[in-house]
Amino acid sequence: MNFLVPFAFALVALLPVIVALYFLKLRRTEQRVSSTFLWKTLVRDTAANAPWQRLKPNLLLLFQLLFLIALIAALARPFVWGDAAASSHLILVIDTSASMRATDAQPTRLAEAIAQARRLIENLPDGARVTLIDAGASVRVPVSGAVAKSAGFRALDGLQAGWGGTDMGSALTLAATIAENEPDAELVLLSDGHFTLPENIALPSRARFIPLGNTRENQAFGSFTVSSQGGGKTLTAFAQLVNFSERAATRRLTVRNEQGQLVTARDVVLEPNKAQVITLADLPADAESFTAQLGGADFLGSDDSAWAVVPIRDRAEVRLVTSGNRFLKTALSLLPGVQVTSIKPAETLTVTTTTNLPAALTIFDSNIPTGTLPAGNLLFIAPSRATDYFSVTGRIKAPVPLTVSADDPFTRYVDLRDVAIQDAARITLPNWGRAALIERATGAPLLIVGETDGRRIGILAFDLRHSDLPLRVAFPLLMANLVDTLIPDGAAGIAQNVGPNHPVTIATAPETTRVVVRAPDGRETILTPQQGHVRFEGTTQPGVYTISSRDAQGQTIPLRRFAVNAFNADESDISPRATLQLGSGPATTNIELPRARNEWWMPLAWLALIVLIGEWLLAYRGQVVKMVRTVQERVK
Amino acid sequence: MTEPILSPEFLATLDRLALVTRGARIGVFKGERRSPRRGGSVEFADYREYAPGDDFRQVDWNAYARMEKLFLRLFVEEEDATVHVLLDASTSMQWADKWTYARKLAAALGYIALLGMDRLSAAALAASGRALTLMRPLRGKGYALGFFGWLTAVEPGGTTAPDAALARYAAQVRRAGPLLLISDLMDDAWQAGIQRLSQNNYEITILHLLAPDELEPALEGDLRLLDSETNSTVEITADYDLLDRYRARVRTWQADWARYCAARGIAYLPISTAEPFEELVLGYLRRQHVLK
Repeated sequence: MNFLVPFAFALVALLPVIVALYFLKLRRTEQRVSSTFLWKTLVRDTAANAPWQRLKPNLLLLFQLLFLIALIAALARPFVWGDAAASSHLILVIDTSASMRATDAQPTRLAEAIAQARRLIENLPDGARVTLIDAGASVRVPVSGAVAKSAGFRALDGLQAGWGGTDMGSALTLAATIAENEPDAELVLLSDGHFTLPENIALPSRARFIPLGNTRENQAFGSFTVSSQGGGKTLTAFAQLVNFSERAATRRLTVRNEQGQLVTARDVVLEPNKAQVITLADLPADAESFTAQLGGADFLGSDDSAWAVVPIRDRAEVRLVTSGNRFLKTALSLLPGVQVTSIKPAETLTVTTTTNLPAALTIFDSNIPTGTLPAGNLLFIAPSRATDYFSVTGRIKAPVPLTVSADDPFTRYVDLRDVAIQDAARITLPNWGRAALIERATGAPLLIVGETDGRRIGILAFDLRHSDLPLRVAFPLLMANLVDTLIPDGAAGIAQNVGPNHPVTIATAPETTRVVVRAPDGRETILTPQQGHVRFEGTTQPGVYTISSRDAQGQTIPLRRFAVNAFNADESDISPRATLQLGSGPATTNIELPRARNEWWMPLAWLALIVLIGEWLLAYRGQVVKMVRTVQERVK
Repeated sequence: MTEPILSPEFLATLDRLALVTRGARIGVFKGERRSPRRGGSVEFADYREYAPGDDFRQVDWNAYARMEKLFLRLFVEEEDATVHVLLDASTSMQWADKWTYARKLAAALGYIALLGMDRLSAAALAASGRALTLMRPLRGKGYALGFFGWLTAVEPGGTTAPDAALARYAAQVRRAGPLLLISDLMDDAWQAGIQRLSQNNYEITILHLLAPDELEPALEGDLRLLDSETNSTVEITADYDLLDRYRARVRTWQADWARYCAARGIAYLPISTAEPFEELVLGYLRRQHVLK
């Protein structure tokens, strides 16, 4: 305990003065009464009960002394040093990534962060503002510049750890923007340090990092997939297990089917700092999904479970609308998992697929239908005119193709040098797409890939029959890359394995009026298809999601399942970071926190006031009682 | 010209009242109260056999005719009673309006006694510096003015020694009878004096007079209380607790007196001078069977 004004203790000299005044009070006023007969007996009674009766008058003295002591203590302005932020604006950035679920802090790292943040807010000076930034996979600001501490507490109570990583770069950029014009603002980052900071980020001068966590003991699933073997007669699961700790660990791997029945179990010894792939063969072929779990305990339980959906055995349907293109048809038919249906341009609107779903990909080879474009993904080859998605502004004679980037997945391993092209459509690059191949001289796009309206679209500007590309080795590779890109989610148009909070696009049949998605916890989301697909964004929790479609007659048809897994090596590696380089200043830790004074004069002043009121009431309680009785009688 | 103690209008209302006595007593003169003696009233009392020398007029000739024996018819004798009015005139009775009230009360009771053809004996205790000031006994309404004059002449202001004064009164006044003691009883010696009186067969009624500020003192602060009678002092801190305890003490004191009196067949009437005098005489004292 320290004192800002220790000289106030000089007032202690008043204590004996009060005591002296108290005794001086014994100089009494003379009062004539008819007889002291009754008073004498009363005083005699008082003397007989001396210890108790004499205590009562002394109570006043006690109150007066207590009042003076509390007053002197308040005037001396006592304080204790605390780790409080004494700034006028406290900007709290709290990491809510999956690693904050680790239980090496009690009860979790996030709970510990919230508790520390609560203490910081409690110790803020009056009038200081609080901003809280939730640095999860996406950045949220639950409270911004609130003066009321209760608002900060409420916002802290609403924080929850996510299943994904943290967008700490955006969070800190936002914090820096908020603090830009406030030199007294202080940024406090509460995290276990599992993120990469963007370079050249300008953080406020008063920034500090409060590290959380103290262990790296964790084993996790790196991936978990199931594939069919022997023409779908048996299933094999592949589980990648990673041990992030410094010691070997033995964990029991169990796999259950969608009914919760145990399918297989195995004890696995995991070497430190290594990943290991476990193959689980001969799983029951009639299962639709599997749940794998690591038995035993580590400090992060959320990555000890994984889910996998048995892949459907249907092939992706590719509808080729062409008046005849042997090269294209051959190249497509060679692709694994693809079933090509070739139709004439006039039949576009009448042909249906075998699954009654829109084709996974429709390729228009040198033609464009006059009516509405079909649902699903689209590939336009040598478009002769504009569509809703792009504009054709002319022709390019003898374009020379040029790869935009060597690392582009579309053109990787595809050698397009010396490819001769007679002519190509001049297409304006739409804002939804990017050019993977351009014309060397003009930079006009020759191959555009992108996503819009929930579907993927590709445009190849030149006619394959007016080029020698089909004769090159690069052609099947290019087509394979294009089909892989344009059908990313497999045969049914649904991804089988996505990460948390990743949207899932579900293609629907024309007669489907509703799509019902049931989450692992049983909650159902009902979606209405638009343009042959729905977009589901509620993948907030890991597990297996079930998709059903409902037609106009109300019939529910189970469609597919997909799994949401929080595979994230960055988050599963829970080793805490003790220091962190924030901006250009030195690396900061909790140890280097600036200290702040927490003053105690206010409660002491309140105590003095309360004691003073108590003393007054005690001294004049006769009058007070009379006054109360008078008021009560008047009220009656 | 001093103001009369009681107004003529109020005296007129007293004409209807009489003092209640609790038993028959031997009087001096014919009066209106039953006497243990047999006498000449119209109220039959008993028979007794004739003895030589008896008045023939009292022989019951009808009884003689039936039983051939002479019997005398005896009738109740009605005699006067000696009513004693004792007035505490100590200094403490001068407090507030206590003395005025006490004197009016004594006047009213004495007047009623005179109206009833009783013998009135009055005395003031501790008046004019004397322990006991006796009044010559009076009888008959015509002496009312004399009684009032005696009361007016009594000057309060002495120190009470009630036990001695009452013992002296009992010794000087031979005939016992209804005794009305008007006092604030502010002395421990009152009980000893009353004890002495009760042994002498007095029919005692204590009219315990207290002023309102003796019942509910309006004191405040640290005080040295000066006794108006003895000049002795008591130091107090008149806070809420002490005043509360004082009020409790007064209640206990009155209750103790009530118990003491009940044990000795004494009527005890606590009276506050805040009570209107007319209501006291015409209402309270009748309800308490002191007057009828």
